[in-house]
Amino acid sequence: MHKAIEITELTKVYSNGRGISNMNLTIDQGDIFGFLGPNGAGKTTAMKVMAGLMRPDRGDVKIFGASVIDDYVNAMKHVGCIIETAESYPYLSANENLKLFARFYPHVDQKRIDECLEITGLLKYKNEKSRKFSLGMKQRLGVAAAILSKPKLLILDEPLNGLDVEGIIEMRKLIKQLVHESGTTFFISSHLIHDVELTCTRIGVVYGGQLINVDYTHNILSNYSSLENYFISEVDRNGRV
Amino acid sequence: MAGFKAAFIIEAIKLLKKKKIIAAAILSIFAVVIGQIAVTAIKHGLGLRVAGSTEFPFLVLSIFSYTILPLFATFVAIDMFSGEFSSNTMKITLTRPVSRFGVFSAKVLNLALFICSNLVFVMILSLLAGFLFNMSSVSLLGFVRVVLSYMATFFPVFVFSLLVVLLSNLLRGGLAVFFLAIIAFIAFNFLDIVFSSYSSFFITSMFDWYTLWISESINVYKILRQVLIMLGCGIMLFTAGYYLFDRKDI
Amino acid sequence: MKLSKKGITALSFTLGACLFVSTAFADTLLGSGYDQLKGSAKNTASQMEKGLDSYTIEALYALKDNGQTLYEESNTNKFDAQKQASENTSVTQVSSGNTTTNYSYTDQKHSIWKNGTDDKYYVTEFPEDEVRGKMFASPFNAKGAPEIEKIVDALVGNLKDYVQAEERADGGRVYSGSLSEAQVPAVVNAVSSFGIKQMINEQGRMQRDAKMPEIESDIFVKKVVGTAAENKSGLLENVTGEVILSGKDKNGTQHDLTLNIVLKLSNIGNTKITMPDLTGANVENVTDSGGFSSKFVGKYKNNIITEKDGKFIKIGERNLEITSMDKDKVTGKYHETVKPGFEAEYGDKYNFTFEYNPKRSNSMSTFTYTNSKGEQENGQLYPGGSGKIYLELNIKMIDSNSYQSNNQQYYDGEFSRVFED
Repeated sequence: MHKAIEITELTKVYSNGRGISNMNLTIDQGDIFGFLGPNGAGKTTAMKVMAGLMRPDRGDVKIFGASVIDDYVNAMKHVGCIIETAESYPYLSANENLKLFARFYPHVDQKRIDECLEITGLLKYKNEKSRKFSLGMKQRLGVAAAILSKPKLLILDEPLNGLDVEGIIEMRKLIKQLVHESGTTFFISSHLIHDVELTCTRIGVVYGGQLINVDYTHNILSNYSSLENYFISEVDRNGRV
Repeated sequence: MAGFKAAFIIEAIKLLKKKKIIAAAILSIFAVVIGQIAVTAIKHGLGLRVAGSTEFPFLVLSIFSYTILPLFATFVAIDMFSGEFSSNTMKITLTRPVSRFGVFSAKVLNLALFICSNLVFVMILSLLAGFLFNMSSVSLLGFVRVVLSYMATFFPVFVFSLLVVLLSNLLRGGLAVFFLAIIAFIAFNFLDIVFSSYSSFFITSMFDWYTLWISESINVYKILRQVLIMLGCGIMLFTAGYYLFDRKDI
Repeated sequence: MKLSKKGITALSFTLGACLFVSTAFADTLLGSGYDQLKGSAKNTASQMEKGLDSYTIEALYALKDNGQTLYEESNTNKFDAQKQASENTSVTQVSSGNTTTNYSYTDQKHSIWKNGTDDKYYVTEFPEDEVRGKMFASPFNAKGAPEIEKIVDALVGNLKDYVQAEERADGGRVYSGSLSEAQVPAVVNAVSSFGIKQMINEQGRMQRDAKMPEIESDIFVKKVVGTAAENKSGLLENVTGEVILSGKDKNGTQHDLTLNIVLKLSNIGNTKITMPDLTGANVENVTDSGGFSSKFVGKYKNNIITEKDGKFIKIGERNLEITSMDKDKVTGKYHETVKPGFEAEYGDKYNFTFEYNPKRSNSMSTFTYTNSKGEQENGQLYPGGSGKIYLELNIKMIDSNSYQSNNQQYYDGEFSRVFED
């Protein structure tokens, strides 16, 4: 099986001492990986390095075999991502925003843009400036932008942020659908344990800048009554060390 | 270069959609109109012909190149870097399959394009105004000189805007960059007066180097030296700006 | 060998920095023709002030309107530092064709002056011990000159390179530069056009025979051309300049006003100055005594005036008599007469003799006299034209450069010569 992401000895420490240290992780193609951890554990830092927004102090990230440090363009060719917040140009409409992003991918046409707007339920707001969008709508636009190029890997940082119940359910449905239809690999970070339990097939727990355990969801659920219990016991065990 | 074309078009569209470009256009028209009114007033009031039809663009250029043009180039440069860093929109392009060098050069090239188009716009306006108000003194040589002068003015202003690019990758706040750029501009002009023999080191002293291009006997070596100075300074500033941009953690 | 990204970045930065710094330094060191010319002018001026034994400067100014001469002036100045002598001949020609010649000669003891209208030499003799000013002062050493130089440099800006320097075979250099209409900066164009326009208007009013064209509209600087030749010892020998100003007069006729300036420095080290031979010539001696000369000896009168019933009436006379006029010494008498009936109103009358030693170097010199109460007071005396003398009495000195005068009402200080028929 091909590796979608290979993280080796990744270290990035901020001047305040927080960050991530010596992280090793491999994600197989077709995984829905849940990146679980409390606030400030280093989830976003790890994802920023993966998306090339940050330069690690040490270590490397390879996406489909291409290093994000040395071969960024090839690494990002099949990646869609939302890091921290879903951003768009506020002075452009939803459609114009997507049209701009589409310029990076020659195979994306207006039909695909409309398709993505349809999937995320933004079609009726197509020509509205994104400045006027609510947080949830901006998040939906972000998702639309991320899936626009039909990427093989989606890196989503807190994708459910700001979404209403309907949106959360649709999002879950979308993830399942993409995995089912095109075998898309997911790397999702969240602090919402329940959602991770419902969607992810594999779970990694980050705490204090370190990846403390990685396991398949069905393994965890066979040993613990719920993911929540697993998470608490893992964090507890680590906190005592 | 992969993704460069896309990044370039994106930057261009972003620039066009912003209000700054309209403000720059309106101010440019304003400057030309006010200039023409002043010239006409002086002509009728004092009987002095400050500028004939082909001299009027030079008059406009001599003022425009030291005011509106560098000011708006600074605005645009700050917007492209500091502005995008602080509004978090920088990561939209940076998470796409394009290298940081591609994004950086796309931005800088757009900045150059902006300066260029602003110059062309003002040149056409001032030529039109000159022709309309002083029909009597039109000449082909004058026209060629005008075009040459406006073209030449692009380079020093562009190099100055590269300095602003460097500053906006160095500092976080757009306002801080703006003030620093203004201070640098004033300081360069001031130092140019105090140490006039070292004026070759101050890029602002070349804002009026178009005078070299329209001289009766063109001093080729001097022009070559100025070109090399600007080239060296430009390469230096571009590389330094890129280095900071490349190392930046978003 | 493949360079890393960091390596390329460092290399490119270094390359840019090297290119920038080295060319900028080279540019600074090379300087512009303007800078060389300025250096040369400074050197010449300071050499002329100190260093050169003798030299001749010829200056020619000519103003032409569409090729027709309006005004022409040629000036020949000879300087001899060793003899401390200088000689100056100037010839002026106006458009009517009238020519005037002025001649002057100065050395340590004499100053001889002759103008074109009367064929007469005016001779002044100086006392031996007097310290006299320099014959020539470099304008670059004047007060405030460095500041002005900086401002001019900044204004000139990139026009500096309009001055081109060319080496000559004999080791000298030729500078040349020209500016046409489009190259003259608009501000310079406007200011100089305005200045010249004002000058022309004033000239026209003052010299009716100059026939200045009254240009009124479309005035602009059409062309500025200049050349300068430097000899191998770094002295500017020949400087020429031409400014063409164009404009239209009331009738819409185009006028090109051309101002030509030629400056020549020649005969360095072998200029000979000889005192003009005054034997048999019409000579008038002018004493160096604050403008007084022996012709001022005589009687002078000034009316004492008052106002009564809305009319001016004369109530008496002030009488001044200059009894002798020697070198540096003027002696005289002064008394006042008042008509009977007005004595009480007028008050104390002056009646004194005085001796006045005016000094050329001090315009504030005074003489003392005694008033009717026996007190010492100060007075001042000036010679006037057409046989008049101005007298100020009861002066209070404030410091060496200013004073307060306490003149009586209706007193103008002007004394007219009393001629005896």
